[in-house]
Amino acid sequence: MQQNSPLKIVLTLVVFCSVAAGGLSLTYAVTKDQIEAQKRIEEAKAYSLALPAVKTAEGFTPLGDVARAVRAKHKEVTKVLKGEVDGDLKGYVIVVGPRGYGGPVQMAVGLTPDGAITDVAVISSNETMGLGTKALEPAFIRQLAGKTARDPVQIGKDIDAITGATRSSNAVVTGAREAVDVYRDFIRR
Amino acid sequence: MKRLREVFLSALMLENPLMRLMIGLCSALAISTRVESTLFMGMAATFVLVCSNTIISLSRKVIPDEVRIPVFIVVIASFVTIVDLVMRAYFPPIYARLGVWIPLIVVNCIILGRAEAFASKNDVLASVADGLGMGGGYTIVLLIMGTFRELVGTGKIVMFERTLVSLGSTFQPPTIVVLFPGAFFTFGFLMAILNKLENRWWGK
Repeated sequence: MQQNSPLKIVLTLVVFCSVAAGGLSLTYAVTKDQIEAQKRIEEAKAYSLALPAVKTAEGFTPLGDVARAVRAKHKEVTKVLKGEVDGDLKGYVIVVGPRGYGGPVQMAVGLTPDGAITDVAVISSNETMGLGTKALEPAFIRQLAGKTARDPVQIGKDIDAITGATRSSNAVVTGAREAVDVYRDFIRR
Repeated sequence: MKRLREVFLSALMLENPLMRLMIGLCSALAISTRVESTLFMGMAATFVLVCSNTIISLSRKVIPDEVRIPVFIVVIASFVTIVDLVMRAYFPPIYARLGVWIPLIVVNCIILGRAEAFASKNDVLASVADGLGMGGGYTIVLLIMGTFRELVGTGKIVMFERTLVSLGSTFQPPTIVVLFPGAFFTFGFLMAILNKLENRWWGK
């Protein structure tokens, strides 16, 4: 094997890295807007699922001040939004990411203006396919509908866990519990 | 042309990355829970393989031997990132399911393995054929595993949010098939069947 001069080695690396960087920034520039748009669509879809009264993405307004205050106490809450149709308050959506079996379960919890859960929509999760994911399905989530901060909202009290998916069930219920707590402590006046 | 076909078929079957070379198993075991995932994973890996093989083969004479691995990694990582961004932009539901396994194609042994063992020693056309064969072989095995695991483990096959095949509600799917142990069982049985068939056809 012939010895290559250090200069050649360095130059080759520089050339390869520059071309790679160029190609990547080009791809990034092309896909950036599309990725942002997809993310917003995905989130808005989850909000509408959680709070069915509000159908459009424009109906949701983030409550930045509330969210900041909430985060000091509830670290897993990432967003607090209100949902309106033609200026009429239809309810709230609280985005919370409680720890499940495979990491945080990002979910949007919808609440009526009186703080009762309308529905829960899972935005992203890493729960075990076919087992933990059962706790993210309507059959399980239905149990949460109508619950308020006055209910226990706890596995074993008013909610039945999915057999074999205790931690996933627990995550969803913990998230719902946090959402009604946030409503009671920060939103209700 | 004949040589290219030989390279392609050898990569696809005799040197099938999963069944014969036994490399790239980690991602294969992890993502073969759904047909849809395996299809996209196979396409993503094949794209990266063909592109990286092409570039590495084209530049094999100018890459200094001392830094060939870093150069390979730069090339591979760039193509993986391109796939990652494109999938995130245009196929978000599938990207969400494949998650970390797309960026992890960078460390998939099949791709670096073929760069080092084949593309850096052969001409461009042969390297493309090798990439297609290796990627195709990977995809086919993934599809078989994914079909079996999704059908048996969940009782139905869902693609693009439409149920294609369903075993009916009387079928109680054994969940273990879609869990991690099921991946090993499926892989082991598949390999046993393949070896048995091979012995029967060619004799040993």
